[in-house]
Amino acid sequence: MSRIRREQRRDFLKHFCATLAGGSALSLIPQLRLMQSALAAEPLGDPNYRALVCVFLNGGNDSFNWLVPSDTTRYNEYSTARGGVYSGANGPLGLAQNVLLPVNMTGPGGAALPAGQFYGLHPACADWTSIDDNGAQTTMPGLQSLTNQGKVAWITNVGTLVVPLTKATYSNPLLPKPPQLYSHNDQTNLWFQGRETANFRFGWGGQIADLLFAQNQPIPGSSPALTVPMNISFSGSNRFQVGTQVVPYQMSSCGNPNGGNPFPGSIVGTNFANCSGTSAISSFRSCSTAGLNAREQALCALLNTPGSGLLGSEHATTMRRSMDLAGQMGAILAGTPNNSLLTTPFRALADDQAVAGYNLAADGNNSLAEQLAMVARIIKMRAQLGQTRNIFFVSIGGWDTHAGQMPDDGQPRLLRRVSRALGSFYRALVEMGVENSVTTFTMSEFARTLNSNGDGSDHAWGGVQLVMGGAVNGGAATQGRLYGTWPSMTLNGPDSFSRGQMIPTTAMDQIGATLASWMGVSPAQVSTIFPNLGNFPTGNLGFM
Amino acid sequence: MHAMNRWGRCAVAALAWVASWPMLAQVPGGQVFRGNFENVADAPASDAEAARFLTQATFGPTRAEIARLRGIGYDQWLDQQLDMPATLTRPWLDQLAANPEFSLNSGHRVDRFWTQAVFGQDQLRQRMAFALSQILVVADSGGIDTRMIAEYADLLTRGAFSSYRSLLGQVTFSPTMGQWLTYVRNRAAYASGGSIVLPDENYAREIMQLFSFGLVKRNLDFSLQLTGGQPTPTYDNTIIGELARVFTGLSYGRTNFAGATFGNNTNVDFMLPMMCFPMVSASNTNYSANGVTYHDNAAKTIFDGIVLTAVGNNAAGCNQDINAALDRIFNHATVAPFISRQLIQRFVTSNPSGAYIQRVATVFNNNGAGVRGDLGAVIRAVLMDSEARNSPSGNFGKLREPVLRMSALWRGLDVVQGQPVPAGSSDVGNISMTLGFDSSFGQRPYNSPTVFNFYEPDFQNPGPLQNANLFSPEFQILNESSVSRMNNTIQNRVADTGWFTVAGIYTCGAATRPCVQYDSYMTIIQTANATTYGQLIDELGLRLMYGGMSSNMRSTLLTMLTSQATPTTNDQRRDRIRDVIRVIVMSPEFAVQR
Repeated sequence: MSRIRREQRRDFLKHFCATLAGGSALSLIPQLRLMQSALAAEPLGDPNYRALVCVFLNGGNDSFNWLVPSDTTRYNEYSTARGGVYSGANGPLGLAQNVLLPVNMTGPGGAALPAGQFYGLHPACADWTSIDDNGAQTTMPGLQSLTNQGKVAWITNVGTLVVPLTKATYSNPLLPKPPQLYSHNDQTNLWFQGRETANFRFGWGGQIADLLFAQNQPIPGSSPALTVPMNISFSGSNRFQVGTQVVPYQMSSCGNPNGGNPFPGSIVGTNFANCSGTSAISSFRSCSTAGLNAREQALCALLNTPGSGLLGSEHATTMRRSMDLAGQMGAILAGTPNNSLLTTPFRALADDQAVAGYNLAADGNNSLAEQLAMVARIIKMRAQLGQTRNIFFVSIGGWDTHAGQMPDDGQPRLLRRVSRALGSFYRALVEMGVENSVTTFTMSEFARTLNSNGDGSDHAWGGVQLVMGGAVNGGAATQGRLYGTWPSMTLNGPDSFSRGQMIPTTAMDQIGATLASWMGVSPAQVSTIFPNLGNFPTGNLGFM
Repeated sequence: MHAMNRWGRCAVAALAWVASWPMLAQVPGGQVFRGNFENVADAPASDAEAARFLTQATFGPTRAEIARLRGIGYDQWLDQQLDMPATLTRPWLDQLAANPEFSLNSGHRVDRFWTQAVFGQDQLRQRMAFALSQILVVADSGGIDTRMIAEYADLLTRGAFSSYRSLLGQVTFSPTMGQWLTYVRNRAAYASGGSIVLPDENYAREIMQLFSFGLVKRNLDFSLQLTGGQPTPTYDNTIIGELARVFTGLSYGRTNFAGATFGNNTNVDFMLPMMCFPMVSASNTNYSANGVTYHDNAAKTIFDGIVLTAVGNNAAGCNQDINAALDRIFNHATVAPFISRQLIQRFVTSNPSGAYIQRVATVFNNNGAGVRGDLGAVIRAVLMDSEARNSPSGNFGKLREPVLRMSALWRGLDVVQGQPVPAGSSDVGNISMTLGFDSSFGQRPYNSPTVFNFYEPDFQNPGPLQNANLFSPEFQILNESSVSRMNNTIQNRVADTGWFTVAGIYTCGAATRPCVQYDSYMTIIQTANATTYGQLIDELGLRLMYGGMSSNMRSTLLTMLTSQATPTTNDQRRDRIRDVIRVIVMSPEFAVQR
């Protein structure tokens, strides 16, 4: 079948779905099962599982301290811009050259980097030691190892753009610039939307899901048929996952279920096994349960005729989804025996205790690891959940390091959490044999000023992001790859403003488009999702 | 025994004004109220109307307050509330901490928040402070000391009806805000390691974006001011850099300057406003700034081309500069619609009409006596506007946030305060409201994750609300997992065994927890039939849903009760009451304040 005909068919189905349900949350409607049989003879896209995992670094990661040029010429430029090397006294934001973790990198396609150019990672990205519930310790990979194994693509200098800009063209009033640069929530929305339209309601993850969600099936055996939403968030509401038809389902991680052990030694812990990430409501079972008592019948009657306008009906919808999905997903994710558990450990032996006197209980744990552990469990149970396509959203905050950036409990701890959480997650994917089917990527609303405000850095623009998975770098690379153009780090130099706010040379749209293509979205549809994509030299950066 | 708070146990029940009506009565705050409806021109026409107003204006109506409001009318009720002294947090915590056995943590602060919200006489002030805490956001999520958060909460409570300019000033000089938005010890640009360290931009940005006028210029009715068809930005990053230079030179306050420097903590008092350095004091001649300029005293060009002229390189100049900038910010034309709209959202409805915003914003700009930013006048305008008082229709109203759901239930059900924790505990003297440490509840006051509050005023819930272009801020923290956790907590606190009392039959599980009273409902259905069931539903409907329950919901609840065996034991009566309460708690109509 030609691609065109497939597109038409898909559009027809999409339109049909909208007509049928007249609204959103379509992935929940039982009628979908009817269409699944229509689709069965001709699966859309890749029949294997594919998932994207968005790791949002909320607050603006100072990513030019994540990946750092380590050759002396460019290191010196970096160090100067950062005000020198931080040595325990406030002021400088630079890392010492000799603490950078060397990584083996090539450019796109495995081409050698320009002669004499090398890179190092923040020391927080080192291998680390995990501990499980039985006290067994394992050496686990950090981002340094994963990069050197070719599982990570680094992308620079990426940010929000409408059209390509340079320092010379920035002041040209005819060239559109992303609105509200440097503002947290506005720039976050641009990253999520994939277009500069103010208050656009949908995200690019949601729009991808609009095209693909019909490939998922209702939970096998569910009656009435209940389909798990394709987009699942472990970090609350976000515009990224909202589509015109797909509404994300929000779950919680099991870091501290039942008030027990703060974080399970591995995801085999008892607390973890009893936690599904869904949450049942006391005294009321799902309205589809047989034999409801009078109290439950009364509530279900009210949920079906909610009153109080759209606010009331949407509250009822959320509650019904909560009750239905908690019942059915809960049984699958936390059944007995619990088949969703993995053996890969997610807990570090000394995760957050590198600083003497650091109070673990007061400061919490690696919430990102907790969220990714739940993502892994859902992926493991994907067949039982009827899922062949997913987009997950997890996040970790604390990156708005205006103050206290350089001490160990500032950005280093956050980078350590990210590195270790991604290390465990990649190992878990390998354990399940799906490392080539799941691609994880970071977003952060902006990078930060290279120059110091005395104790930290302020909001800036372009920065560094990563993509991780077995399928990145063409799937066969043996070392990391760097995509995009490394900028001059001279303050107010050719690529930046006075405080080292980088003008991006790669648009975040290009990352999104590359990932959308990998998920099976056609070029025409990619251009619809990212309407500014045509302003840039390529819609596929080639890292997949 | 340690002193209890000023209302003591059974505070809500003690306000059983119904008993003394229609005589003149003295409220604890000292005000006299009139006890004769007929003489009050603006009294609510019904218990339901009074309850609806109190749902908007307080942490929830009580039977007693409904009667009192009907007795004195809206105007006098508001007058009394505006005059009522502030119930505070920090003095209470300090009193607890005077006991060496006591060890302060943030849970005690949250317990105190709930105590003030549920039992405070100064309901409107407490509610206004809570609303302001969601605009002028600070949080202890950043590791800020509990007493500093408490002092900040008290600042908002004391200033709840003051001038917004005065509040902006106190907020700006608050060391709590200084830590939270990282401008304490912010310095004028200086050279370091071969490059220039520039001032922290955090506060400069957020005071404009979130605390005053926002990103774009707006008309009084909140509509956009367009330039060439596009929204008109209020500032750009250059202006932020300029304004950041204003918020420099502030370090922690002290009364003893011996050994004090800009950067050290010698003799600092974190309860005092921040101070401009260098400072000169008659008692302090040792202190020297060593020739360093902490406050950037040169001229700055801020938004709208406004130039702040150079000031002296001393503390007076620094104060002058900051206050000049605050004056300019406060007088920005978009402040009135920007703040007014958010206050309407916090008290009345998520989607006020432009005309409603304009009416309130007009009062913000001028309280009628030529005063700008009079928050007492503004909140009166918010609550007494025809759009707030008229019968609700369409999509009017707002989703009740977790705190307001819980507080309305506790107050509506005449909750009784728990006993102070006895000696032998590091919590000694604390009066627990049992939500102090509860993170699963979904909304812990003064603990939002970022300066963007728990939810944003422009949030639109994906799906039908967004498609209808309706704002629904509180939906930002409502999802399939939070809705269950929140409801489980709430159901537990008002309907699970051990959390309610009926005299002589059921008691609360522990003396140190809050407990709701079922007595009157047990009496209503002592003889259970369709009539008394109806009375039970109507009584709870008034207390918890301001009499706004639809006939559909009423008949659904009645069917639930009449379809079950007629209760003949107290256990069965209790279970019927719990069923009604549980379904109300879970119902869409309760969830939405209309």
